[in-house]
Formats: sequence, C-alpha cells, structure tokens
Amino acid sequence: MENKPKLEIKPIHLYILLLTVIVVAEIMKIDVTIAPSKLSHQFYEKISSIPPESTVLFSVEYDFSSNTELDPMLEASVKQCMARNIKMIFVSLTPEGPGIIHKVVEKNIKNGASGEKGLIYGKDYVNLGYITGGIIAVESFMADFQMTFPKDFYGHKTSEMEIITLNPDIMNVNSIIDFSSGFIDAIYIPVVYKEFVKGRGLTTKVLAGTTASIVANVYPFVQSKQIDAFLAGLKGAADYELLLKLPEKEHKAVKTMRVQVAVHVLLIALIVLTNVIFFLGKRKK
Amino acid sequence: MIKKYLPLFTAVSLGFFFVMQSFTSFFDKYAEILRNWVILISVFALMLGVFNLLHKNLKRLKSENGNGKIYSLVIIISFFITVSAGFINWNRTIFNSANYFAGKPELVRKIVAEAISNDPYFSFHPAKEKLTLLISKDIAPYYIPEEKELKESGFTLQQYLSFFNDDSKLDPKLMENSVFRKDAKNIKEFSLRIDNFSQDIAYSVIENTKIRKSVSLYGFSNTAEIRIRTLIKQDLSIRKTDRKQSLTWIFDVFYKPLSTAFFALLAFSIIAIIFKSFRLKNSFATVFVISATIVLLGHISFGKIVADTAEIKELQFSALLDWLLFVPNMSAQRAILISTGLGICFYSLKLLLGIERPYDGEDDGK
Repeated sequence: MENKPKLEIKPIHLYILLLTVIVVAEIMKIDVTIAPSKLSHQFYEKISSIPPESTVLFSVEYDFSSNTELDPMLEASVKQCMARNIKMIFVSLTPEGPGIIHKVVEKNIKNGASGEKGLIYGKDYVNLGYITGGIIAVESFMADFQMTFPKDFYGHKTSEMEIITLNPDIMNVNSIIDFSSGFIDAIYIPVVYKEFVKGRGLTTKVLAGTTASIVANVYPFVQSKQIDAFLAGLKGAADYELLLKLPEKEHKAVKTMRVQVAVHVLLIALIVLTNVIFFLGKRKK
Repeated sequence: MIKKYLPLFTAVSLGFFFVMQSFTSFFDKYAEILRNWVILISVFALMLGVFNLLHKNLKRLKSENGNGKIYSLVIIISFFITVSAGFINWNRTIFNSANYFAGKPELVRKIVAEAISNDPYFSFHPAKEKLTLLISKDIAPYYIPEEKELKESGFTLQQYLSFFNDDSKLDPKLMENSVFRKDAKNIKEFSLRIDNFSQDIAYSVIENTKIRKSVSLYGFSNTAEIRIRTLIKQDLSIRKTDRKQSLTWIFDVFYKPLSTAFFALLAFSIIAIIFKSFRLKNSFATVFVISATIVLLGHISFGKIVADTAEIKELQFSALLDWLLFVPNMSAQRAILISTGLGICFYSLKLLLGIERPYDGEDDGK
C-alpha cells in the first residue's frame, strides 16, 4: 500500500505565513478601531496639566530593538510639550539614547511642533547625553545635577545654559517622563525617580512608557502610584497619538497597530490550529 | 594577606557606610562623592569591555583556525571606523544659536547696531538709548563706553555695568528713578527681542529653513533681517567644519536598521514557539494558553470588534484583560517582587558580613 505523504507544518511554513500576513496588512492598510485606555488617558491628561514654561525631565533608556514601540511615545510626548511651551531636559542611561533624542527633537522642530515661537537650544531644551552607571547615575544626578553633567551631548558647558541654571535642583522639575525597554530599567528607574522625589517631600510626577513585553511587571508600581501615569506598549503609543489628535500623516503607532492586529489574529488562529492538530493526533492514538 | 583583606574591608566598610547614609543626612556629601566614583568605575568597565572585544577578536584573527575570522575582521574594522568617526566628529554640534553668539562680541555689536537702526522704538531716541543698548548683556564684558557717551546718558560706568551683570547690585535709589526704570525695562525688552531675533536668523541660516516667527512680530524691519542674515552668513563661512555628520550617518545607516532587524527576527522565533508549545496538554498549560489568548484579544482593538459583532455584549476582552492583569498578575508579580526583595536583603547581609565575597575570585571555576 502506498504511504500518503504526511502533512507536516515546519517552521519555514510559519515564517512564510507570518511574512505574508505582515506584507498584506501593510499593503491593504486594514482599518483598526482603537479605543484609548484609561491609563493612556491619564498619561495624556498629566502632560496636559503641566503649566507652560515649566520644565520636564525626559529620561530615555531604550535602544533600536524597542524603537517601534517607544519612538512614537517619545515623539508624541515631545510634540505635546513643545506645543504647550514646556521646557525639556533630556538625559539617557543607554548609549543609543542621545542619538534617538537628537533625531526626535530635530524632527519635531522641523515639523513645526513648537509653532511660530520656535525653540532655542539651551533655553527651551537641552540634550545632556548618555551617562553610565544605571541607577547609581540617577542617584548621582538627582543629588547634584550640574556636577554630574558639566557638559551636554554636544560638548557645551551646561553652566552657561539658561534651562540648567533655572533648574539647579532637577528633582524640582514639574514632571519626570521615563521611556525604558529593559526589564530593570523599565521598573526600577521610574521608581527610583519617584522615591527620590518623595524622599524630599516634592510632588514631582513620574510618568513612564515601556514595551508591551514588560507591561505586566510594571502594573504593580502603577497601582501603588509609584508611577503616576503609564503608556503600555504600542497600543499605549497609538492611544496617545489619537488623544493628541495628531494629523493622520503623523500617526506612527496607529499605522503599526494594523500589522500588530493582523499578526495577533494569526497567532490566535495558530493557537487554535495547533490544538486541533494536537487533539486529532491524540484521538488517532 | 592584603589581597584577601583589603577588598573585604573596602566592601564591608562601604556597605555599612551606605546603610548609615540611609538613616542620616550627615554622610550625604561623602555618599555623593562615592556615587561619582561608581560612575567613573563604570567608565573603566566600558573600556575594559572594549579592550576585551578587541583582544578576543585580534586573537581569533591570529589563530590558525579559520572559523569566524571574517566576522572578527568585520568587528575590528567597524570598531575603528566608528571610533574614528567619533573623534573626527568631536566638534560636530547641532546648531546651538545661544552658544554661537558667546565669545563673538564683534558680531553681536554689529547685529545690535543693525537692529538699532531698524527698530521702531529706538529710532526716536538718540544717543542715550543707543549707548545703553550697546551695553546689552551680550557685549557688556567687552564694551566700555566713552566718557562723552556716559555723560550724555546721565549714568556712571559702574551703574551700567552693575545693571547688566547683576540687578541686585543696583543702587535702590537708582531704581526709584522712573526714567531709569523705564529705560532699564526698555533695554531689557529690546535685549530679549534682539537675542531671539538674531538666534532665530542664525538657526535658519544653518538649517536652511525659514525663520520661525515673522520679522514684524519681532518688531524689526526686513532690512534688518537681510543685513543680520548677511553678517551671520559671513561669520559662518569661516566655521563650516562644525557640521561633519559621519557619526550620525553610521548611526542611521548601519546601526539603527541592523539593530531593528535583529530584534524583528524575534517575531519569527515566537511564532514557531507558539505553534509548538501552546497546546492544551495539561491543566497548567490550559490556563497558560487561555490567558495568553485573552491577552492577545484584549490588547488589540479587534478583541472589541469580535465581542461587538458577535453581539456578546457581556464579553469584553479588554475588561477581561484588565482583570487578568490587575488581579492574578498583580498578586503573582507582588509575590515575586517581595520574595526577590527579601532575597536581595539576605544576600546583601551576607555581603556586609563578609560571608559572600564575589570580589575575591574564590568562586572561579567552582
């Protein structure tokens, strides 16, 4: 008797399937409905409530492995701050951070996010660059900002910058916004910021955004209010873009959500399929 | 003896120092110094990493075994290219208009002069205002007015300089003088306008964009803009070397796409793993698979659509996801966090008491 060829699904078949779904989703531009979550609303409202001319500290701890999720968050929040005339100090605890900050800020300036008024480097914003040492570095610059950053990313003296001289105590800024991707960074750095601020009896708010893979680990800190507002993964970034009412051409996360939705549908279909195969195989035995 | 006890003494004493520092602010100053040492040591750790990378790859290049030689060569070449780009790029800045004018008294003086002759307010005020303007904060350290000019203005040299260097040094009686107060206010207002105006023009010259605010909103004429633009262009033609972008190019063209692509490959591994292991083999696996499916459904919009179109209004995946994340997940996370915290406490205690000594290398090879 002739043996029937066995139908076997190999990883290569799955890879091709995944690639096809991604390409089709990108070409078809499927329409997805996004309902902003309560957490995203909170994040948006916290930035909306910052008074103009206040200063915020942006702490950027991610590299290009997470830029799909975190770049839109950083871009949108910088855009909102620029539009609200909020001054921005940028620091980074990852070597890639200053480059990411440079691109995002320049892009927003070129797109006219700051309106007619424009921005002056050293007065309205400053990119202080990368500092090594992780949490110890955070502790260090929270204690003495100017000593830890005598020069900015481009080599200029920070002591000559208005934004720095007006904010000698970095803990006293209106808010700290942290975007991190690593497990340790995403959880502990915002919490370290908050603990320092609370230790000094200040009311500085700590806002955070992270990748979807770490979201579950961050929720306990959101519930305990050690993180005041939180953007969760690509969905959080898309929510935030919609809340900001950005023009469609500036939607970055919303566009990527199309692909994510399609891939998630595929994953669910595969879960069903693998279980059907599993139970059919079991019954035969 | 020293090799054994010096690291032990250092670790234990510093450990106790930081414990004490948590309870009293007395040690804050010293703690700050020590924290800066840690940052400094981290830099050495980075350097060590770099040397280690070079050492390993150079060794592989020299070895007789041909495996992976090409990769080592690529690593070494790209390392040196990137480092060189960084050094060549040393002075590369995004254009900092505020710092650009610092240390250029001559340029500032010319710009101020251009602005004065085109400013609607100051055109009505002769020598006195022009003199006060010239001592604007940008050029105060470089400009000493002549005696005649001072006489016309009615103020002493000391008064002028103290005003621009530090308002608090001003004689309070002088501030009572309404004419002086008005002049001071006008000078400051003008100084701010000319600062913003010239910085905006400088930025637009460098970035090849339009100025952000219209000339009339700054309170100057188009002639002033053209003249100031020409002055800045002339000055910048001497300093073109500031704009090298080799490092940014490497960053954008190589590093960013390669890192993104590397991470994107994870999606392919995940899909294979899901197909292989998301099977309802036992009760634990069932809970795991169902939770994962709820997370997938709830995290994205189609979860809601499916619930709506199927008219199962009670079944909202996002609500189910919230419950999953905020109740079972939270309790499990808290349990893990608390136990990790306790573990860290006990390990720290062992380090403090010198029971655990990872720094003396005794664990090597065990």
